[in-house]
Amino acid sequence: METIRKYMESLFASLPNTKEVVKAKEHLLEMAEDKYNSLKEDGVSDNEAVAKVIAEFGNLDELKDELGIAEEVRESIQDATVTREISEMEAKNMISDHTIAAILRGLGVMCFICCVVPPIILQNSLPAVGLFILVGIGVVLEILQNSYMKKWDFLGRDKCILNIQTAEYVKEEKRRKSTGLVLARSIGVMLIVICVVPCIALQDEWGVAGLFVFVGLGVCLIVASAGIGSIIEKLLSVNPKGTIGGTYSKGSGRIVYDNPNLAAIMDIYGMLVLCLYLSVSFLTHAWATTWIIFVVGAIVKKCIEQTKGHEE
Amino acid sequence: MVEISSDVIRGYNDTIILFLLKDKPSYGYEIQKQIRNLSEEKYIIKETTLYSAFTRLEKSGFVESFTDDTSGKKRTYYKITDEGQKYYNDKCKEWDLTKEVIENFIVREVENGNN
Repeated sequence: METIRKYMESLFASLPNTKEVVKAKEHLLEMAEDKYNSLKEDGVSDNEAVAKVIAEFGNLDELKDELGIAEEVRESIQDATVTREISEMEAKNMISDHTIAAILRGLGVMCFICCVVPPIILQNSLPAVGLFILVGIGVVLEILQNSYMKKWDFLGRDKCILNIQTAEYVKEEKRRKSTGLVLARSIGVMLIVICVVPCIALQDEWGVAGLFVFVGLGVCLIVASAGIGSIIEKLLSVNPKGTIGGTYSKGSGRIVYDNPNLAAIMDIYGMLVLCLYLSVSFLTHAWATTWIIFVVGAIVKKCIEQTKGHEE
Repeated sequence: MVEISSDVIRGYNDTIILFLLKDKPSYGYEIQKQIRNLSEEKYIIKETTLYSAFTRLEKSGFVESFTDDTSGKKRTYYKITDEGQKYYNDKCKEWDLTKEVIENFIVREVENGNN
């Protein structure tokens, strides 16, 4: 049945996401399902049943007048020749290559930012050498990350579509990676916020060097996590909005919990964190550091969502 | 073997479907199965053809659709309307006439036993 569902999705993928089209898709799937079940009841093998249902299904061309989609059907038939379907394997490789590239790019930027560190801390003749070495490494990393991306630049150039299976895989990847990405981004922001700490603490050239290292690391984390996040979003937005295929990337986004107590707590989670922040701050008067409660709160929320909740 | 041409039968899909809805409401697969059985597997209507016919009939007010899940599975059922009944009777008369006219132009080879 899964095969039939995927076949139907692929037929409808490039059609506009209108009420008529969705209704037709559901109705046709309903008939196909009835037929499949009835064939199975008659003792026909799974493969044969699927083949028979698909063979006898007919052609969407026949529905164009009923759905008011004459234009789209014609277009989608013409498009078929230039459209490139991204397979699950391709999506997998694409995400892993982009992940490597994003990390290399982050490290490269960090090298550029930290290139001033050797001149600050080394007082002899070496500082210039250190600077050039870091810039050199940065350039190499930049070139390397470009070579990883090169293979995939058809994504922006050609007309690509994602079938429902690949879209589901990418969505799952997004879910798996989201905690790590949020964590990396939060730590990155935190490093930049506290970059002056080494300066204040050490009061010498090592403190200034520390400032650049903190900023470098922070930017590296932000650049890398943004790069990984953006390839996933880019893949999910490949299918044109307004077509049936465009709906694949949509989860409701709403997280639900099976445990009713937890659900009640999560409902007012933001308020709880705010109360905690205010009470701790008023009690300790440590306003300069208590804001970290929000960062920790956000991370804890993400962790709870990942482990206890699931998308609706 | 001679196969039925979809162009020729298209004009009669409405008649066939209305006939099957005449006595009781029914749904997509059921109708498809009945057409297959009553035609002794000589005419197998495609899902898309059937859906297209349903939508057309509903738009013309000859059938009404409703959903029902008493059988355990949610299905769209179709019910014939009074107008549909009238349209069906007209189509039957039209077919009699068509048959009568076309019949005048048909020459049958002498039966030789193996068709």
